[in-house]
Amino acid sequence: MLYDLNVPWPVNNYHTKPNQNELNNLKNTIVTLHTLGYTHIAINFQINESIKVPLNQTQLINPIDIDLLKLELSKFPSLKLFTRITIVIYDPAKLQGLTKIQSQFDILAIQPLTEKALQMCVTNLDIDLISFNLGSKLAFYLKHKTIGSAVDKGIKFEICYNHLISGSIGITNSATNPVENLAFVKKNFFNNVLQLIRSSRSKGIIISSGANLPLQARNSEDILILLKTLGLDQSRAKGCITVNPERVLVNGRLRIKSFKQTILVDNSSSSNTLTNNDKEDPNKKSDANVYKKRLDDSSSGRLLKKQRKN
Amino acid sequence: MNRTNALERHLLTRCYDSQDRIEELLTTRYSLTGDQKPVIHFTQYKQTDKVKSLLHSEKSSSNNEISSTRRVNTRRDLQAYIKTTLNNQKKVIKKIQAYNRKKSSQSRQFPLDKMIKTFNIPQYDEFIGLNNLWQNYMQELLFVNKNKTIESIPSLTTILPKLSTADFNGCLLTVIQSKNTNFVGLRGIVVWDAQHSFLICVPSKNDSKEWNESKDKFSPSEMVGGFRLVPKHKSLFAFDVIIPNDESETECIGFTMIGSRFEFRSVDRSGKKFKGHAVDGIL
Repeated sequence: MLYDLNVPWPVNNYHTKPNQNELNNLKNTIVTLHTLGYTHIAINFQINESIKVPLNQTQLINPIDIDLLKLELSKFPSLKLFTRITIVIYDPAKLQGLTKIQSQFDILAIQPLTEKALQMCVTNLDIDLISFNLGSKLAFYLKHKTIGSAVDKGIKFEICYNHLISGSIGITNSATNPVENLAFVKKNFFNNVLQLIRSSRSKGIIISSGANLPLQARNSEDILILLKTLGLDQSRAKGCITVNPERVLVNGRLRIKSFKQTILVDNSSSSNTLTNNDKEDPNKKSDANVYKKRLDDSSSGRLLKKQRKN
Repeated sequence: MNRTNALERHLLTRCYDSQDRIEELLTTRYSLTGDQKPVIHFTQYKQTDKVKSLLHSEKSSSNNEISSTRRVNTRRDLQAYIKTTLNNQKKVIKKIQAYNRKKSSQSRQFPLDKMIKTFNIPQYDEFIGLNNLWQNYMQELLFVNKNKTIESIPSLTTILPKLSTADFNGCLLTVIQSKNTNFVGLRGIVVWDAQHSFLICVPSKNDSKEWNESKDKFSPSEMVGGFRLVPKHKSLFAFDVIIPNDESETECIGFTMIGSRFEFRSVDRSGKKFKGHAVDGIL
């Protein structure tokens, strides 16, 4: 099973809705990734810390219409879709209502822009993932102490490879000479990734596409070659697309489905109980009614029924 | 003479029962007119109960606490029982294997019921009552409010914390993930919730595993049933709670327990404040 935990949602605020063209583009990207072998795909809703989240209306917090997407992509039964939020943080004091946001998204990621914000993410917040904007120069030096303590806590770090292959998209607007700027982006990307690998001692890294277009998706072989070039060995590189993202997903899903990772609801599918979200009502995640099942449907239920009769 | 004769008196209490007799002996010994004896004759005297020493204090009988020795003994007896039962199971399994190896004896059926009786192997049916009790306890804990009526199922945020501190003796568990692949699919009623493992009593033959329902050939251990000691570490357990809606009891809710997060004694778990950790230890 391969994981891609970053397919951007086309809109970055709560006011506008994505148009049909953008939605089609998103669906095409997901299908492309699925044909490349990815089974678990998370749709990423990225917002700035200055954007006001409608905390009072819980059903509005998550703008991603996951039910509709699931329905339209139901042709692919092995495809599992999840939602993710990434909050770009500059000043950690501004971040509020995180518990309400947590309960609405499967994965909670944070993109710190300052060292103070990173420090706070690691020590105080209950998050799954930290991502950096690898295309531009990082404003601070990554210390092994900070990154290492995050890895110990189970927080993973994301490498988004779209900076490397997206070409001039998204860069042209600010630059006078796009070609030169593109070279800078690649230079920054390699610099930053090497710094991340050094400071984390190649532990706790995941790699994701961040693909805005179907053409930006890459298969696992290409990614493995990229990671090898960056200096990871075979098994660690493989962990970046299989084991580590799975743990991010499990961590995020358990926050919704379980009480402090002790007991979780739903035991219907034996293979992926920890991450499964088929039955869940996306608007009311703590509703227990959807998990009702008939005793005759499961084997242990039949055994229970038999002995209750006697 | 004004002497208490404490030493002699003490020695005499070991020989004579009644205080009067001792008094009499001592007065005759030192009286001026009576027979002054140079020696005391100490006889051996059969004690009915031990004479208490001077420092002895009476135990208060109202003390209801279980003494530590008794607790240790109970634990040791339980350990010994589990050990002998598991050993006996192994013996029966060995016998079945030996029987299967011999070609000549195939005509005669292996006397399984007799073996189970002689080796005193616990059977699943004996624990069904315990499981029914547990189901009632769970229904009361999770769904029933004070008026003993069920309007709707409460939300997960109220159910799950209750479950994490509940008692699991008597629960019907199914192992859905374990490091030891032999345990996967195993199910049975929890007999003892130890710190690092569950002792479960498993049904034999068709009920033993989900995929054994339509089989007619079983492995020796599946034929015997009895106890299994399943480690909690890196395992996932599933269980169902029946919703007490109506008489027919047709619906249930399934839950999964993460074994790695349950490695506490059930006594400690009841007041435990759980905390999320890195999930690397779960799988």
